[in-house]
Amino acid sequence: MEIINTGQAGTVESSDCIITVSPSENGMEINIESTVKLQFGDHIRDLIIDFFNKKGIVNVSLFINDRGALDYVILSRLESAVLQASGYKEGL
Amino acid sequence: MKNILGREIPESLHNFKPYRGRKVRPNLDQQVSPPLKTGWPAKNKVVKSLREVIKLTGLKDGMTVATHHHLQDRDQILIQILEAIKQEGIRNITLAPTGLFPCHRIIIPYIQDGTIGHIEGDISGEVGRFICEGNLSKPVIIRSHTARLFARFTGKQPVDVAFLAVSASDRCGNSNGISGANPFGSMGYAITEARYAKQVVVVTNTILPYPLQQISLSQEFVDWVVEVEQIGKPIRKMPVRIGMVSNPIGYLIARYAIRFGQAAGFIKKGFSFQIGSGALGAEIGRALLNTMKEQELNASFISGGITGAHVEMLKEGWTNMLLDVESMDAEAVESLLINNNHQEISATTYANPFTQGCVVNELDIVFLGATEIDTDFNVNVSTESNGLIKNTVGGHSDVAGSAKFSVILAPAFRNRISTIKNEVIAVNTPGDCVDALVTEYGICINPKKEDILEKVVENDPKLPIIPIEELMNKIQKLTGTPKPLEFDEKIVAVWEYADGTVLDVLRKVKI
Amino acid sequence: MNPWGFTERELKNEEDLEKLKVFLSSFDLVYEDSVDYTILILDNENEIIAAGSLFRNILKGLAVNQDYQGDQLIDYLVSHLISVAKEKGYYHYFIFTSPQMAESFKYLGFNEIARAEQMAVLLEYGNQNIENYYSIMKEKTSADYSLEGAGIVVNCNPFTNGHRYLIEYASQREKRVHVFVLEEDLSTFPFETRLMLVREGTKDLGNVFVHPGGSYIISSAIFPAYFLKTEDAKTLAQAKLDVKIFANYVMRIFNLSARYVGEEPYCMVTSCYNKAMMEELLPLGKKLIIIPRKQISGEVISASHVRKALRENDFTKIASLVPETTLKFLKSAEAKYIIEKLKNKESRH
Repeated sequence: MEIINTGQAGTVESSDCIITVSPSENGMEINIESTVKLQFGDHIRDLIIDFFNKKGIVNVSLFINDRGALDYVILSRLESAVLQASGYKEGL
Repeated sequence: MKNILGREIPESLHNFKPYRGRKVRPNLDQQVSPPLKTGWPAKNKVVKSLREVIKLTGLKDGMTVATHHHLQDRDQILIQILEAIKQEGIRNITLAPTGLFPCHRIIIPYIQDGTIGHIEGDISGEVGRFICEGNLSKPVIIRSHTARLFARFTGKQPVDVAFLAVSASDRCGNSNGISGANPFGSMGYAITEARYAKQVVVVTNTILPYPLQQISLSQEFVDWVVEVEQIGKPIRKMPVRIGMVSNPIGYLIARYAIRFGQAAGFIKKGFSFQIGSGALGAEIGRALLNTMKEQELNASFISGGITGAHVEMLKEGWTNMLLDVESMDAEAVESLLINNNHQEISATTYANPFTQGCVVNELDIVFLGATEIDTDFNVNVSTESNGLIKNTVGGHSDVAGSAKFSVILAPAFRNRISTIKNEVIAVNTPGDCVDALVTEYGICINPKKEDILEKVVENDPKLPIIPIEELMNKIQKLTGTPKPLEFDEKIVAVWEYADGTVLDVLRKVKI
Repeated sequence: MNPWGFTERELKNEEDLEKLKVFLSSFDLVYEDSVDYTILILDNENEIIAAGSLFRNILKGLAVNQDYQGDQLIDYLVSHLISVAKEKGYYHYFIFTSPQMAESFKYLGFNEIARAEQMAVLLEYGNQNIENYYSIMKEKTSADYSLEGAGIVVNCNPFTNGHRYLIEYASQREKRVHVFVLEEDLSTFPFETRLMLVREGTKDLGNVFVHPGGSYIISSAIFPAYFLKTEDAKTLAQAKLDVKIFANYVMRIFNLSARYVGEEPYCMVTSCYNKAMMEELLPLGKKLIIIPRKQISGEVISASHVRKALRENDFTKIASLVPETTLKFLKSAEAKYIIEKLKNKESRH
């Protein structure tokens, strides 16, 4: 999978997050803002890297503004943002 | 040195005794008498400005100034007092507020410029955050309402000048919180602050003819009366939101809590109760009223912070009395003024165990909040999961420790942080004062209340009772296990129990 | 439909507008006409309990009635406005608000860029941030940053002999001059053209570096009044924000000690701006150097005169006002549609 444009999903409401992904030329650039960064910042980073690895995404710039979302919320927002950014239209 | 809760209390905090257990054991040798004053021949107490009264009181560098929080987030007095103190060139005072609200973020510049050198009192909001960032040289001493009383009458924290906002006063200082242009209701905490302060200044925007009708604070305690333009913004009514469930999780927790209280035998005809402030407080209030109506259960009294919801219960006959130490909204203020069964009580009457008996000892059941609770039921209400102080403790530990049954209500997790932890950031209410925890995922009963467990299981077998460790594991499976915070050496806050012993300390979080 | 069951709709009519103005005033916020979209949340009695507006990628006029602040309506409104902006292709957002309201947005992940005390605060959110933006720009430009330089901000609609004079004047007196061309496309000449004309027209000046201004220098985000052509009290607040951003980020990052500007005796907005600059730069130890405008036949050279002459097809006049590079462009086929556009509208910028 390749990131060819910008995709964004989520909200800034409590227990949610907004994820913006866009193309990058230098591998993965992951920027995390989180209300629980001290406690879960590393975990969120691992979660995202793992997701990209599984999808075979190498070059991507990601910004997450997390408001305490659970893993499956983060993953679904991530999936949605990545689908938009990879040019996938159907069903969105 | 570790206290019996296993919390490390550093030896460097000399003069502090570690927490020994729920039962308060005052040392009667410690008591000091209220200051003796010479009020004869009668003097003119009315002073034109705060600056002038500061000169008259002889307030000096390093002295202690007390204030009360009955104006809550509408307060405009504290800033005026601090500005006057600053203009008089007085520095390094100890501020002793009974509580601070978000509006009090304006005191931060006075900490930065050295007008305030130390704080002993209850704090919250941005001031809490600012202090947790290590901006004061000495740790703030946070006392529950009872602990504060104890510090006063043992002379542990003498107050040099108490500046007490009142909504009306006469020229001799007889005053109350229900008359005048800007009423705020009960003067519960102000009344006791007046008894032990070396000098008492009442600050008001309404001076009425002598003698004032309906006296809450007697002239015998008052040294000076100052008239100012404004004491605070007007109190507001609670918004009407009929038929709206804005918080389904809160609703579920409230329903569980009431079923649990009934099964345990504490919600029944003639019971007494108290509800802590906060969003879940509103949910439980609504749910309780419904239950009382459905089952025709009326209460004997409701105490503590009184809201419009409690006033509604009183009006409709679902409670015989309201014992009001702090009025939370306009409905409560109005009711206090007109309804004889709505009584103002002082902080001493409310929660002073070092007397022949106080109101909280008579409570059957209390519902209180928590930001964190550990598997020994130790509760943190002050700090958020980031280790920064957000909320005041109020009378949390006093009420929990005195009522017959104390129930903590909290969502199982907030922003992916489990409410139940192996270890809380700070203990404000010790586990031996807490009987149960109710969350939307289940109810945990403190093992020391084995009899309650049996009773509840028998009376309402469908209630989701679960051991606290098990519930914690269940929640953390969902949320993940948070990386523990790391702390610096610097101690930023100390929490005292009712008898002046130390529950816990908070260190500066490493960021 | 929102989770609370409150009515939620767009601003419709004059009555709404009046209500909204009253509502916003209690939060020290002013309703600005320059918005694309306004959402209202109403209670059972049709009173506004929350509101928010959007202009391009700028969220403004966001407020929630105190009685409802526990309900996280502000989170909901911000999310909603972001999703509206996203549909229009924006992924980087600003909030323009009052100091009273600013704190509540920081909890949502917005970072404060600049603040004009007691007036206005600008925050931003997104993958781009101001610090990175100018740092990357700096890295891409090979200049000797160890020596202090000077900065100039220009719109150049289009590039004239007046602009050339200002830049040349600075380049003769300073070690290094950075020229920032306003990026927002609200002018007759598109940004790319304006930037190209400045670059072409200063090519011979070895110590002059021309950059895009980015969305942080006199853009409608920070400085709507400049584009609205109004001259009220808001202008000063906005001007101060803009100057603070220039001083605290651009001048710091590029190591600039002075800012050169052309004297503006006529335009109220611009002279207000220069006043704000004076008040903000001097306390920071930065110099503001105001250069009298270059004149020709007793008249100052102004881009508006060039545009006027273009409307009148007076290329003799134009030749006296602009450098060779600009003249060449204006005579080219590429410029035709711009000149057509110009003839069809009257505007200050």
